[in-house]
Amino acid sequence: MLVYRKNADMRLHIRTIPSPLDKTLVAFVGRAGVKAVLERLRHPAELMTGPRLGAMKSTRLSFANILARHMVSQGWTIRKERFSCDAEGDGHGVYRIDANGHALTYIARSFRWDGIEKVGRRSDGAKRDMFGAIFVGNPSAERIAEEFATFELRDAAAMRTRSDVTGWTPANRSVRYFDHVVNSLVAGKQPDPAVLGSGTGYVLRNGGYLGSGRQGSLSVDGYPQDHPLRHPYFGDLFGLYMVRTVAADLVNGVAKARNPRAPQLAPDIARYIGVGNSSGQGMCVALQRWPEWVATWLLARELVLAYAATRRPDPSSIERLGAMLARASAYYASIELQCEDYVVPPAKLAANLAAIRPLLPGPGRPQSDTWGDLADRVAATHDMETTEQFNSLLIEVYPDFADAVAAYMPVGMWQDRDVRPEASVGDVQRLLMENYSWALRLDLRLSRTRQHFWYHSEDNGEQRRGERILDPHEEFESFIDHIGLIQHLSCVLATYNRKTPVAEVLVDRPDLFYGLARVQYLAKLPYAEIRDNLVDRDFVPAQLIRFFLSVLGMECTTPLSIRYVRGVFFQGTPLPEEIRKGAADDWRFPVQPRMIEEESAA
Amino acid sequence: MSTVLSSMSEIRRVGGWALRGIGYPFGVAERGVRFLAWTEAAGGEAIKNLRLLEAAVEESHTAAPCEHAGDSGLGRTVHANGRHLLEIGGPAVDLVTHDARHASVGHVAVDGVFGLGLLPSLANLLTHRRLSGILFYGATESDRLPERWSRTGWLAAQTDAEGPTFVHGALEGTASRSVLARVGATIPSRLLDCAIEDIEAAVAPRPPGYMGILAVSDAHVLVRDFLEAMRSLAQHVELVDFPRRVAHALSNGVPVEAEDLEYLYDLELRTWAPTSERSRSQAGYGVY
Repeated sequence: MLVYRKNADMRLHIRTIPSPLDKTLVAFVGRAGVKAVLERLRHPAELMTGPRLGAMKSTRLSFANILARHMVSQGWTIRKERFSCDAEGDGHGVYRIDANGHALTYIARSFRWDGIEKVGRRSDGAKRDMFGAIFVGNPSAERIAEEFATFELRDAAAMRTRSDVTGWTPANRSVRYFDHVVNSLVAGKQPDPAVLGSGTGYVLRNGGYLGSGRQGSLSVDGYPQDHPLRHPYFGDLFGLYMVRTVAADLVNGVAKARNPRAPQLAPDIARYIGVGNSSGQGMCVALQRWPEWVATWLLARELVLAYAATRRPDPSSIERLGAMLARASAYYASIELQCEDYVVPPAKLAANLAAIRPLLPGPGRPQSDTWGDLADRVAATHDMETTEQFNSLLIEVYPDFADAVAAYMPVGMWQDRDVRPEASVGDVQRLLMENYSWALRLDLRLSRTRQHFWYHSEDNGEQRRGERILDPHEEFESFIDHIGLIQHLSCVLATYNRKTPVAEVLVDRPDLFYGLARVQYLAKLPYAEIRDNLVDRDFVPAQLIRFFLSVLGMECTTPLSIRYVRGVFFQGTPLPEEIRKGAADDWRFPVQPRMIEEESAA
Repeated sequence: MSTVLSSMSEIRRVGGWALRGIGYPFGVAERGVRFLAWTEAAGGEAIKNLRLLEAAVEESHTAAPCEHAGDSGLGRTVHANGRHLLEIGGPAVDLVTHDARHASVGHVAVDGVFGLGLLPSLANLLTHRRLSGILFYGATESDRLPERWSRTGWLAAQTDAEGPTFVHGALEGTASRSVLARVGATIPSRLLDCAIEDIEAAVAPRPPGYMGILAVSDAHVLVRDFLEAMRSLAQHVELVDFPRRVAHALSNGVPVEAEDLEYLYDLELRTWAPTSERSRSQAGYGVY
């Protein structure tokens, strides 16, 4: 009789991690301390599900936070060369940037408000309220004029750029909050932070970065080796930071055009304003296409969490974690979400974090041997979102280790996605047994387990989700069905002799290249495959969208439906002038500013 | 004719869908687009060639399955039955990779193949895998090749510590006799028969589209002496710096004829479903 044993503690029990991470870990804990940290790594079966991934919160390792720290530590300067606009927001701006010795130029073209609220869907095409471009270097006036002329086309199919541009940053107004800010300034007063907070704090929202080769822009591999934007997502996110910068200049400019005596946006308010963002199910497709990215993000995250969990609490770390818990609790208590259907409500999160704070070690309280004891207790008594928020804060207590591990992100995200044709069918079958038994056991014959397929629509290629028995174009479905891929691969390989070379299989079935390569190159990456079925009737895309956004650095992700998530980037991040002066890097969970009384007579 | 600047990333992003639009399944498209983008960046007009060969590509989707025979000791043969290198080029390189990694030498003879303009990208795949080799080819009259390449020829790729080196030469006319003579003097006897068979198949009258790949794990065995000998054939031999071309394309963009880029996007559009009220309700946006 076969006896199945459940892995009781759900730890990963891996002995080795990629060499760069191993070196970093040894530098911090010594060779003797490695085992204890690795034993804390959580098992993929626990971690790689939609609900768990969707509960994860941004951390110190999130890309927006890494970028902002680079900007501060390297003293980037952002100088407004010119910005002008009329009372309706029709304007142009040019900004010169020194990014650690590398010149960049950002140009912005804001358009007169056309009366249409745009949420930033791909189907909107080039109809945006603003377009920006990041140039590498200092382009000539003629080149800048050429790019501005391209923006005037407002036709996605006709708009092209060149490799001196890293990307375009389209953006749209949030009418309600944009008007509130402008009207307040025109009336001679600062906007009400509570009103901004009710929208989670933004006046412009991301219209979808068009860079990294799109429309002829520079490919990421085309940057010079030492360029500060040659890093995953830094081009995109720096573009968003510039949109945020322009947002402040734009509301100031419009207000000034309407009332020459209007005050400028106060720094505390400007800092509280981020960039809005809406993301749809296309993000899930990206996660499925690039599992090595997922593996890198999660391995780095779990490693810094395991490191923190194996540290002993001391007065300094207790004070730090206590302060972070208090700030995060206050932050969640201050925000209002448009929809709380799919999340733990912020008020509940705030209360949970506040309730955890008294559990920190201290006089008269239970002592923890390591932080892991408290983390386990939180996990056992709270929901996943609270647990993951606590984990995120715990990571923050040991910033030096987290920052050292962050350097691994661009390294780990690049994997050679080639097949190993010298392997045998038996070799691949062994990998399937070791790494994909969870996928092979799923019954895909049930109609609900394959109910959906995802496709691009002719509305500018917007990603949509259809039903197999009802909707057309299934033959062009986007690749998300990794479980189906693995099961099919396993079935085909079963028809071959185990000693048959993979190369011979590929001559017979060239279409198996992707599956074979995927199984092989992911073999040593523990957190690569999402252990959920994306084509299942009950799969909730918003969970994976939230995960991706937290990795990018969004603090508070809010699904408005099961396939559509909103939030804000860079809220609380230092302003350009503060970055130039070397702001502290402790800006997460910004406290809502107090209402500033009237500044000048209207 | 107007030229626009594209990028390798753009070609890879759009091209993957374009290849599905032209009828390839996902797994083939994912691999084929790497060859397509690299060749375009290397100056090989891969998109134009795809456009001009579209009818043949579509025809290939209903061709009889590939047949293959042989082993690492005897060498291998593949009857591609009218397939494009986008589909069968990668697997052919896989076969010689398997053999070169297990037995230090690999050889495959592929007939009934077209799309030989992608040959440089296959040579690049060899070097990516730390292998060296010689690819002999004979293209059909209707096939498309890089500019100034003769209908029959060879492309040698050598991998060493300084990076890959690519040398191209012709086999047309008297060149084939000269190459044959030098092959006999430079290639080890155990590989000689394969090389001679490749050359004869490549220059055969109206070949059905031929590609032979000789691959070795150690460049000393084959390619260095061969290249040294070929240098005396100055008028038929050119050193092609593909890596520099690709690096330049990454930094400065890929010049593509507007008509070709438009074609790539048009192919992608074939994969986009018609919109409808129901379709719009299936987007992420909105509360559904």
